[in-house]
Amino acid sequence: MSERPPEERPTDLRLGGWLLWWHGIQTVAFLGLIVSGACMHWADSPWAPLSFGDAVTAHNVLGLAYLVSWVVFVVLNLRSGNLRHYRLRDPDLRSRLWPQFRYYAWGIFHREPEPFPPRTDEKFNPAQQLAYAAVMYLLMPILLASGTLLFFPILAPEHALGLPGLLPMAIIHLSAGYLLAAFLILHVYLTLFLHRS
Amino acid sequence: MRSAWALLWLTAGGLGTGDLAASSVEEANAACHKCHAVPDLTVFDPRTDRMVILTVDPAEYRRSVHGALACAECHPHGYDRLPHYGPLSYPRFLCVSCHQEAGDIPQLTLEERREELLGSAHGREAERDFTCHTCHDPHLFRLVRDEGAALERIRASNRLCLDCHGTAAGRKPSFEDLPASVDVHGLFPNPRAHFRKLKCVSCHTGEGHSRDHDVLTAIRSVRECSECHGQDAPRFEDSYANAVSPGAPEPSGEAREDVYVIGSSRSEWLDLVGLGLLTAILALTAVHALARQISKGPL
Repeated sequence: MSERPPEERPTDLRLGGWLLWWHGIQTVAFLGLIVSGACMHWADSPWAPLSFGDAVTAHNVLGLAYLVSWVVFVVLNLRSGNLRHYRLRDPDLRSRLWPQFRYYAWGIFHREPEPFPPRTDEKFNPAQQLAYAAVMYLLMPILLASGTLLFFPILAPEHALGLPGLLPMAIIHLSAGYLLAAFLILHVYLTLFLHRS
Repeated sequence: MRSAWALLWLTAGGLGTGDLAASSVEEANAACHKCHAVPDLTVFDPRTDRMVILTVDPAEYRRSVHGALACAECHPHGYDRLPHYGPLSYPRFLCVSCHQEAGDIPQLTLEERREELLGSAHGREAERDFTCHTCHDPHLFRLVRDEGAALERIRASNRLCLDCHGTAAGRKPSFEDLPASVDVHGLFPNPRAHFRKLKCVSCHTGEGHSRDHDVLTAIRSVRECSECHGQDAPRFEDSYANAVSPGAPEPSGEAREDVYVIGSSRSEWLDLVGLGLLTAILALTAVHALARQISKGPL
């Protein structure tokens, strides 16, 4: 698919309504989860800002808030019609991704126009679409499911992949946490400093 | 006589080829079991002024560490007549006479254990009638490390404590079955998970050699989570070390089977990859932002 033309009147990219509140809750919860999770993970570190017990309590409360927030997102995203921006409609996604990555790596430094400027019917560029869909509908369910099993260890399998059941859950949870933290850095940079510029 | 019985013990239990010897022990014990296998066989002991349970389950006895011994090996005097003569209970630390003096059976550092016991929360009782047998019933006792997987070993270890520290109803199979203990152990974010996967003595002991016998009162017990929730935490390693079979190639690996502890079980490799990824992303965004500034792009 070719690059898409910009709308005559550019779409307002500012977050509004429930998406604004949802982003606020997500930011607080996820930053708190990163800090409390790190305190649990490196419990023996002298630099841990929270004691292990406090970190567990904070992680449990924020984890529950994060879970509720995700469910609210899924429901409202469906009901509000915002889901259309997450649909990977074009089967030839790879050919659409290349111009976008080229823009990030080269075009942006040479004042080239965005290959896929935001439109009312398609707010995200292909890279955003792929990343947001993967994060919201794949990575976060994995993170939340593994976290729920760590919260209710009795529900975890006794053994998985030849290991004691909770250990694979912890590895999956931690891996998803690292990936989401990496996404957060890129998301903040790209949305606040790049796409809004 | 003693050396003959010791040889019998070695043949039957130690080498595992003693069917004939084992059957001889069975025959020798059969006469005792006629009475002592009766459930709830109880008599009054005038010496201690207490009721004494004399029942010994033959099947449980055979599974115990002493199961290959004939009854007469430890009950040599006054038991050949009915009713039996002589003391109905043992002098304190009788275990010493076999486990420290006889040369061809497992030797235990009982003097160290005794010192730990006297200095422990059980010390006051130890000065009266608290003996090895108070916890280690010689007719039932099995080595914790022989109890199978890690969680079973933990349950076996805790059973020794719960025989006395359970509710008034008596013996409880697991700490999980003691609702009051959840309140008492409110320090834990998730008490029941700890009861299931932790030995009582993991926290309720000091820095002794065995970390089993120097039992501490609640106020002196470990309250610092990082004593276990840290990688290679000494207390976590020690709490499982004595449950590992001798000669195991990787003691900590075996000890941790079925057991996952936050912070203690973390993978350095995964941390390296994860933190490397975050560092790379941060560096990438910093370089990108800098390049945009240099190219005079809008930032």
